[in-house]
Amino acid sequence: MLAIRGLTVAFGRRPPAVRDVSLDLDAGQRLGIIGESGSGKTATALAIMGLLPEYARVTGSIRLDGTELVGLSDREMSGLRGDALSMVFQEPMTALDPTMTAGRQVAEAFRLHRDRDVGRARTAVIDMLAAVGFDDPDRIADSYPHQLSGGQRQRVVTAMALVNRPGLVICDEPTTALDVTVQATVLRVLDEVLDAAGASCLFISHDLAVVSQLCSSVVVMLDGEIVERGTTEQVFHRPQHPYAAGLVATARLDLLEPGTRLPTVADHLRGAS
Amino acid sequence: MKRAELWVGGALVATVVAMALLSFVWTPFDPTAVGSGTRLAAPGWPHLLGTDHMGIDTFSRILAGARSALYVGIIAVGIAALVGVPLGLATAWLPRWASEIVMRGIDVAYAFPALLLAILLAGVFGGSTETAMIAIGVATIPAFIRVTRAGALSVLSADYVLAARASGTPVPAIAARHVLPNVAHLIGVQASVSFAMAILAEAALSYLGLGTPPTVPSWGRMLGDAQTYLVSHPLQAVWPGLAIAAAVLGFNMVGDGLRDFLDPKLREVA
Repeated sequence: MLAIRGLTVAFGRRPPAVRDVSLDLDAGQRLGIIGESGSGKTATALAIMGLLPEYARVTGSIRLDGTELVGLSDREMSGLRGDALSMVFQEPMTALDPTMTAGRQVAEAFRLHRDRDVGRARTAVIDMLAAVGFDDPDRIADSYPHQLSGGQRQRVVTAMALVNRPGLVICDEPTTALDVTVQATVLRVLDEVLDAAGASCLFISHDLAVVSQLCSSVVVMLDGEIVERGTTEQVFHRPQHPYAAGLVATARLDLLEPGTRLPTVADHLRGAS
Repeated sequence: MKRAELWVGGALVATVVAMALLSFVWTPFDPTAVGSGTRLAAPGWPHLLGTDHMGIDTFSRILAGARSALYVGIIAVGIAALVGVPLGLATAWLPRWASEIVMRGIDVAYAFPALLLAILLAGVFGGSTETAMIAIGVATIPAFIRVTRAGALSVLSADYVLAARASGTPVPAIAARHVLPNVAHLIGVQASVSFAMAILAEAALSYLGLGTPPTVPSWGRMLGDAQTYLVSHPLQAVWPGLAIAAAVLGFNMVGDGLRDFLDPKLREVA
């Protein structure tokens, strides 16, 4: 359903942030994109959403269900955003408007694309909030962001992205800002609602362990390029590229003998060159 | 300390508003009736603050003068906010080069004093309350544009605006639903400070005879009238002067207090 061919994103005169990236995503499939800060994974996500700043130059092709997204006007793109594709953001502390109740923010996307009626939007919002695991969706809907915890906010942000049951959901490090126990809850909820919606998912993270919980296949990005791709199994157990091998080594500290020095990604990269 | 500023300012503003409201239903004497009492009577009974050179009760005139001050303030700040806030929001979406050009133009307009513009307009259209209000309002527009734009730019870089865009929210809806409520506190502060300036400007224009007409009670005009008798009856200049000072101080303190109260960074330091 999502087909990316030769995607390149450049900002000003600097070298491209994303270089010649090609990806395929089937309906219902979940693909993890792993890479460090600056590897181009967020730029790839924003390019798909059409949310890059105006001075960014995007070339190549992004097709969603056959529709070419590159070169679409902002108005046309607005019609798709929140409806055919949506995004779960990284920082639950800042991704919600402090002057609006959680319910109104979830309702915004619904009323834009589905039904302007306030009452029916409210019903949809309450259902969605219940789907992301709130026992008291009415109270949450009437709460302002500062009255909610980080994990609660992240679930509200997830509800915002999924209220219209989009075909494609892009998650940009949705659990990075949360502590580990809350992270587990949010991942479980995300897993459930993605399944329920039958949505495809691009899951962006720097955390191999998180990706392996949610995704069947993985690509690894380094300096704007895809350096490794395969099923989560393959990449986890038989990484080909030294950078990917380094990532796996740093993620699997449980395999390490006590007393040995902790591995770094640089060890593997140096060994390769 | 900061709370105290807000309370004292609020009390002064409330007093001025109460005076204006009271003057609609009751004043000790008619504030416009010439020769209703002794001319230039000393403060005492029944004329608490004395009478002016036309025998009008000064206390009644001070009460009614609050009306002119607030009227001019409300309309002038209203004009400035209604024009300045939408323009400020709009410029936040302009491409960088275009907004630079617009903002330099606004800097020039900002440098143009409100009083000079008012005198210019009064010279062309004749002095009246309306001319004064419009002149003060127009001259205050750039301040609102700058404050709104600066606030909007910082809000636009927030994640929740990106999230709203990711939900497909069109630009006008983002401006109205997400940006405006998040810059409202800045606009409130600017409004109360501009209100103080408008009251002062109205007083200055009326003092010069370019604002409120002689028949309508106005603190500035009272001050101008009292000037002739400054040596023999100095108190007649003191009362309107005190009223102007109290109103301006009040609105300024509310503005400062609100800013400190609403800015969490300043609040921690205080």
